[in-house]
Amino acid sequence: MSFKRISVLAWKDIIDSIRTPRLLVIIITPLIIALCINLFFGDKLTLRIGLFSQDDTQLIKTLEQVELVEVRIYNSTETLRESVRNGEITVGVDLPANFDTLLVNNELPSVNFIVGDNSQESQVGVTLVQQVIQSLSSNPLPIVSSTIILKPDALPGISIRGDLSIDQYAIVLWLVMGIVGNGVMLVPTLIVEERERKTLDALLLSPLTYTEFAIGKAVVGVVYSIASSMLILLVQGGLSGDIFFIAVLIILGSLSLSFFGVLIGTLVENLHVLNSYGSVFVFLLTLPALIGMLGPNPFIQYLQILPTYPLVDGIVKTVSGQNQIAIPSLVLLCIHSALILGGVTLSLKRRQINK
Amino acid sequence: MEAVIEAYQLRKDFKNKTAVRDVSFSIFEGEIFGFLGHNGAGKTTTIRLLTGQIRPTSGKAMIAGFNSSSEQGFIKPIIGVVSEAQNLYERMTGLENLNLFANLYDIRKSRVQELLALVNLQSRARDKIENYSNGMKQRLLIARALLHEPDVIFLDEPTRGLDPTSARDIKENIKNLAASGVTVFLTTHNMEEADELCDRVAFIKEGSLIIIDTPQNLKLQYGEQSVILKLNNNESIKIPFIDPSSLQEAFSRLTKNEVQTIHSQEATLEDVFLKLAGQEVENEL
Repeated sequence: MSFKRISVLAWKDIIDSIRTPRLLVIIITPLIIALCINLFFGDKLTLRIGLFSQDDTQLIKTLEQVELVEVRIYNSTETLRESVRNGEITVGVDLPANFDTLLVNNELPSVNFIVGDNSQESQVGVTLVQQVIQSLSSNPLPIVSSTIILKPDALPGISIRGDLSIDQYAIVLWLVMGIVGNGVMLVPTLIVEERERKTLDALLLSPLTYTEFAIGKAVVGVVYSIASSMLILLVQGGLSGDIFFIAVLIILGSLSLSFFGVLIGTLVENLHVLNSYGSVFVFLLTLPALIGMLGPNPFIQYLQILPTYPLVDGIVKTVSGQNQIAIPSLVLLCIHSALILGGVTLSLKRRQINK
Repeated sequence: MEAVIEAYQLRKDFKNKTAVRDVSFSIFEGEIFGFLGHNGAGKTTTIRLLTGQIRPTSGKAMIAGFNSSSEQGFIKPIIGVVSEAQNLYERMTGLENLNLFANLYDIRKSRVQELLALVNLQSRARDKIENYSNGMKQRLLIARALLHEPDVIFLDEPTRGLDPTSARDIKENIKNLAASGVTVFLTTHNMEEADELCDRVAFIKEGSLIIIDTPQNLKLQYGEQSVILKLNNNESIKIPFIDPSSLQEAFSRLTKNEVQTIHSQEATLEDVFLKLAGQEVENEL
């Protein structure tokens, strides 16, 4: 195998892809979506806080003045809890009777914070309300607070989003979209195009072997996946967590999905078929990330067989600062990559026999 | 003389069709060998078998003593192929197309310039292929096939769809190649072109080889050795060469100034092909 020949072919495609509007669209679509969302909604993600109070309280008005906060009033603790459970609000605040009087008299009113999970978003919500109450009192510890986390088993299904806020998770979604788009659309398009235009014949009559050809195409997918991931992170202002671990996951995910793209490219006969079914593959592979956006739900467990599941799960856990529990996802991603590579090898052998 | 291309009982079956039926032949160093037949006769499949692009169902193909199917690594450096499809990268320039393959073959860049000059495309080297005419594309394909200085070149319908000037240029290139010692395997359905270029030709019909010989022998063997005299009174007389009395009559009429025109009855390669293909059809029936 010649790395020089692989790099010659990959470089040709890296340059050629930029010249082709159709391929350029595949490469930059996730970037455009991420940029648009960031531009139009980036600073408009609101924190929804629900309040139950038996009487009027100045806390409502004060909270309403806080930017990016939406306040909803409830008429009972039960309805407040139900809304938290359904994900309609991030934090529920259950105030005692005569809250304002108790606060002014430094009588340390008991406030119950109700959250659906222990996510960063929930924690930010609780801290924000505490700070607002603090601003209403001269006492450094004005209330006695307790936080009720509705148990995960009380919530329907499991959550791949973990402790990440919606806007943080959105970055993971764009990353996965970019990697899937480049791996599963760009790579097979490059292969099928060579076959349709019969340039593949010319390439294979040169010293280039079919294995080198397949690796060269996968390299293009990996390069564009990494480049688009870097751009998305740049546009979105980066991600917290161990950057090395995230980089390893992105590279491994790019490799895995680019080889998946090679597999599709070797099996699909023409661009018409690829365009028809390619978007189905993209949708399926983006599904773990998309469904994760909805929060806890019962469908996620069925998506664990997809190679994008450990990728999403691994990045989410790493960003949440849980590198240790992200290791199984990394291992699973390695297994997925090995299986896909096995599929590619089998397909190449099949081609050799049938030619 | 040593055989450079050899086919032994070469056969290729596809799902519903036998494209090549037990074909055998040998082609020698420096020879221009024409492989002639109608569209779908099996010419391109034969090239694909000889160059190792597809495996034969049975039989074998050898290039310079190497098996085309199992010894591709040895075959690739010594063959150049100009396929029927103009398989160039349309969005790239002519120079970029050649540079790509020069890099794959690990060939010095100056060779690219040499070839551009050879096919007279230096001035258009930086134009995109999509702006090239068919003739220019064909010339560039020849340049690409010659990059690594192959000993054998396969040309699949090299002048198809070209204007007479471009076709003449391509034919000149082919003649020059053979003169430099390159063995040329040429497929065409243009019999006139084959007659002009080829040292030997083979006729293929429905995957089967009908005959192999030099164009001259075929024309002599299957043509009529006679002339037709058209007389001043618009009558025509056929004069066979082998009949002395007819020759005398022809001479007599010529001296009496009774002859308007004389037409040679030598067969064209196309006549021979049609005659042989017709016989094949009859035999099949």
